[in-house]
Amino acid sequence: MSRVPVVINGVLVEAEPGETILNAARRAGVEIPTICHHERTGTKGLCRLCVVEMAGRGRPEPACATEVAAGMVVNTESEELAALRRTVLELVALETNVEHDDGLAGWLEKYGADPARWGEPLAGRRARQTIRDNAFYLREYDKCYNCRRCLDACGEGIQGVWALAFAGRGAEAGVTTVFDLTLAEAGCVFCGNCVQVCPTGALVPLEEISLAAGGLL
Amino acid sequence: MNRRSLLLPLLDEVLERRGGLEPADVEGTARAAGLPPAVAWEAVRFYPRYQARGVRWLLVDEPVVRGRNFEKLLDALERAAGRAGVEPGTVFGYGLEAVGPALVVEDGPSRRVYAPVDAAGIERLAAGGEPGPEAELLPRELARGGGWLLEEAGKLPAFPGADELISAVREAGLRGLGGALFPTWRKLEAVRAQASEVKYVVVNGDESEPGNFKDRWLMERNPRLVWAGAALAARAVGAGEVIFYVRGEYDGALARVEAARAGLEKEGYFDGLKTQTFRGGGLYICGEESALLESIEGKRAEPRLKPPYPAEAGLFGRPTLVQNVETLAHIALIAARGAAAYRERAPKLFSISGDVELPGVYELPLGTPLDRVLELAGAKKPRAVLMGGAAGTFVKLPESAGLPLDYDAPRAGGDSIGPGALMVFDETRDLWAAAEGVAAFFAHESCGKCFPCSLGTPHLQALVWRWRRGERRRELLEKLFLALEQGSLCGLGQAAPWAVRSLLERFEEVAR
Repeated sequence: MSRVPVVINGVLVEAEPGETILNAARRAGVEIPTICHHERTGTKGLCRLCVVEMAGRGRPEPACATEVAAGMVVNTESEELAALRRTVLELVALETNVEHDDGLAGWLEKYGADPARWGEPLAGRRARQTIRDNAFYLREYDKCYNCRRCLDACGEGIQGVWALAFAGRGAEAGVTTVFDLTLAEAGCVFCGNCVQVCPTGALVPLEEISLAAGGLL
Repeated sequence: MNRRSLLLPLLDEVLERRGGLEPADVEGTARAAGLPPAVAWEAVRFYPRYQARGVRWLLVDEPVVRGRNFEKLLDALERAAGRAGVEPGTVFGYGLEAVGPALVVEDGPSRRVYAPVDAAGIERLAAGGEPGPEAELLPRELARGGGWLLEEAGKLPAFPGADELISAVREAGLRGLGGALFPTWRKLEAVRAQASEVKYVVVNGDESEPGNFKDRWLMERNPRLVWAGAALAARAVGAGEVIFYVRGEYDGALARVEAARAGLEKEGYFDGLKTQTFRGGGLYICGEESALLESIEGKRAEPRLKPPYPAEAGLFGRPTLVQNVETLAHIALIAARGAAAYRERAPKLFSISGDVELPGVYELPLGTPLDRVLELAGAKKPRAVLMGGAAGTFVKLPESAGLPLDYDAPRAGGDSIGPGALMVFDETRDLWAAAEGVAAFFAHESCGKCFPCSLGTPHLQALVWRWRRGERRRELLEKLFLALEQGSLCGLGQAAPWAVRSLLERFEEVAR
């Protein structure tokens, strides 16, 4: 199949047909920040950190959800995009416990984020209690960004188990289980896929905790 | 095609029969709808009526009452409810801006609506009486001055053929009257061009934009005209089924839309076309066309990423024409009266409320200047008009008196007639209080899908609240405007800053 010529940050890139702007940019050595995208899950277009400017489009579009097209002219960095990303990163870091996310720390630094300027958190996320209802992992939802990678991995994306569910609306929305049951009751098979795809450290394998504490199970 | 069982009607049926939902009920309805129980559980945890418990007294929160005495009424309601041992609260919209303030007495999933109410009415409610006149339907006299759309439909137009209808709609210059103002013929053409054997027409009757009640009027008083437009559109695009999505809280409109459907079915008007009335999810986001489709499918009403557009992959992945109630009524008028006569008259419904002697639904020619409209409605010393709705802008008077209310002219100044709401505020009103209500509305109605909107709208509300109380953080507001407008996934988050920004830019002298 013939390559698709696109211009990313002024450089001509030969993209693969059907690939996203995010992938084409990565292969060309251009990093675009993202939280919700993962190569194994279907989550995309949620965090909006990867939005890029495209010639002829009014609003920036998410690079993770936009396929390349011949002749596309894309800018992944601009003053406006930086300001937009800075605000989103600040709000994520203000509202969520981000101490275990090294990737996010890098983006916060790059965009000069200062979460404290927004005042007090409003979403109630940081007050969420850790859930320990099984022998394999903890769910520390004070660290959850609602990127939904775990939901996709559990449901239609990978496992087809549908033990996890998304509840509530707006800033109060968050991950729960079907009928708010314990994981085992919800039909979880403890495949570990959700833990694998979680970017934030909200899903903590208990083995890791026991090793960190210096002991074996 | 196979008739699918849709989740929300199944849940509603159980809710009506048993008064509440248990996990076993949800599991059973999920099976009947062919969905994983987790998806049904997400719906139950998303749509407010599946969580409703007990009796609540809810003051209707909308921009007009916010600009007047919202805080005092809420205070009175909270005190009265406290004495009566009832849970107080607020609820957005209801399309009662022209007859408000309004109050909802909610009892589980059912409700009674009263308007207008005042502090004395709230006292009567606490004493076991009625707080005001019941307002299940909009009063008939709210139709001001008559017009094609406000006259009850007589003989319905016959289908003139797809080419004829679509070219007439094009010639008539009709645009999408849910607020986006997209050329209607293009949507019709796009769905018609799809090769799929299964196509749908979905009527968007989820009128939840504060300040708008013209769709409510049409659904309650002229539903046959809307069904006729939907049936004509379905034939033009080759769709075999029409689903009429009515805002969940509009009990009166639902009953009348369904009665009209049953009547037309009996008369043979639909001629093999499948039709269904659907009680909407009861949230603003349900009016976003792709979120609306998600909710018919039984999922959380969250907007989809576009492309693909509904015309290509809509309901259950099939090509779908989603059109606003008023737009479809106009299609029926164009078919009945011809494009030339329609174009000459250029009718458009406006929902006018606030500081006017004659609030109501007006049919006026597109392009009527704002000051002429205000004069007709009997506005006295108007200082501002919140135009379009919560997703609208404050237009300043007398500066914008000559503004022609048509599809394009307001756009030059960054405004739009949107669905046609005009909420009028005189010099005595607190515009910042109205803006605070708008910001609270968006924070409440954000679905929780994309990060900028779900995290940003509560901070918009907080910043406006602080501004009103003297703590002005203009630079943070500007940052938030950018992140919301440019970063949000759908129109809800993108439009959330508009009203507040217009106030900052045009009315800074009133910011105290």
